[in-house]
Amino acid sequence: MITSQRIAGGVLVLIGAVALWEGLRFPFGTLWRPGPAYVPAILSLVLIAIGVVLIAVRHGGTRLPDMQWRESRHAVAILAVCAFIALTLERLGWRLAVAAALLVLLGLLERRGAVFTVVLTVAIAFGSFYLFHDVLRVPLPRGALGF
Amino acid sequence: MAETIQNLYMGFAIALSPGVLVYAFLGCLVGTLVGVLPGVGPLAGISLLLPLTFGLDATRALVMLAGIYYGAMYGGSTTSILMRIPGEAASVMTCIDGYAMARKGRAGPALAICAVGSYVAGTVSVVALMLLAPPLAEFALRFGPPEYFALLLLGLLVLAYMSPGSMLNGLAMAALGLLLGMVGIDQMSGFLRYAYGVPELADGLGVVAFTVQQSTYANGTHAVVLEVDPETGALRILRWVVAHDCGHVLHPGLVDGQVHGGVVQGIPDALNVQLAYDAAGQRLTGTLMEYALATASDAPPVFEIRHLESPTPLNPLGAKGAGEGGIMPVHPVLAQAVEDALAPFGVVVTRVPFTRAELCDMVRRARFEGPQAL
Repeated sequence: MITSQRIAGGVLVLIGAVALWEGLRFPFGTLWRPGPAYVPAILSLVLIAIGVVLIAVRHGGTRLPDMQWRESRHAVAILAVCAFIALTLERLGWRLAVAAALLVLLGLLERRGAVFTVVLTVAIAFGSFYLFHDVLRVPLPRGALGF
Repeated sequence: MAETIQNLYMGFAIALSPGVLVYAFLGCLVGTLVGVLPGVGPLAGISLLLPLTFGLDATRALVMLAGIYYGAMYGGSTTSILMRIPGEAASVMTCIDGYAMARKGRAGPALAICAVGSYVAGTVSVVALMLLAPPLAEFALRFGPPEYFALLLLGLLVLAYMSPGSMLNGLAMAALGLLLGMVGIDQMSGFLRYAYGVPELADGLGVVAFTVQQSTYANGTHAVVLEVDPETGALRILRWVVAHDCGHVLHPGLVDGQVHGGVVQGIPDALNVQLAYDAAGQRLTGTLMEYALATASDAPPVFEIRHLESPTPLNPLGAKGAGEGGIMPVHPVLAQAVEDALAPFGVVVTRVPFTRAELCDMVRRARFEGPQAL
């Protein structure tokens, strides 16, 4: 039976295995002179062990058919917007990337009014740029178009 | 004790003067506004708002920074109480009672209790710290690696034990958190772990490193053309090209000289063992006769510098450092050039310094035993 606990265990095993595989590219060292892979390898093994225990334990957690996540649509959309900003911030610049993200979040996801969406988007995108870049002198990316 | 009380008296005398109180108020106000933002804690808040103090004298600047710190600490509790979103780590516990009170329509009293509680606890803890700091520091200085390790282990075990629900889940989250902490440069060996070529990950996954870039960095790229005699290991540099960006070049002659000096100092470092010892532990390079100090004869015969000017916005001059870009790339570029020159022999250079004798030996062994790594 697939439960939330077993899914979590599987994810932990996966993360531990990837971290172990990546970590072992570095020198492992010895107990007396641990190398850069020593602690990551131990932590990865601990994660794998805990994951296996979570998978093996028969009780605990919610059954997969009973799991409900009403906010999943919002969560996926917000994650997608975060990924969009991470990928385009340097290319589009702070103002354009933030404006595009806010338009999607407020206009499409939250279904706010057009005037409210546009005013808030412009105010936050350009206002935050002015506050951080011009007043606080924190360099923000401008992108290829200078925005 | 008497000295501590006297220092406290002096501190209050300065802090309670009207001019300083205004900046304390402004710091608290701005810090509270920043602290309300989820993910922006006191440290990130101070880093972001640091430029506000640039025009102030040291006392007012420190008071304002302290105000920002405490304001940001308090601001973090506002979102904890009203929205169950902790502004920073210290506000996580406020979510439990504060949000429950807000759900019952008592958000105002919850915020007031939080403010008064923070004020009383903060004031008492600062006074207590001032009184107890000397003995505490003396005690802390006795801590060595085993004690710190035991302390860390105790923290993790307490975390796992106190976490709601299964202890196993708590341990898993602690291990996952520690694993995320492995991202970045290993402090002991200098290896870059789990960064996947992203330079921003070199400092780890800290919030401040991602959100704040108050420092500015110069850039320098070097290329060298050289000849290596495989029979003797002798090395002759023919041409050295540097592309250098130190922002706005204020004095081209000085920057050129800085880059020249960096390269000329770096070359002997890469080609000679500077601190050599014999089997008995006697130092072999104790005088300038043996120690390979750079001279004019080490300078490449053809030296070209290209200045790329990308002024930094962080200072009025637009200038960055001009020292590091000259010397730091010298070692790797020499190692790569020598490896390229000896590629027909299969010699791989993985470290500096490498001496002529070592190069010669590598070539000789490569001829008989195949590719060799230095």
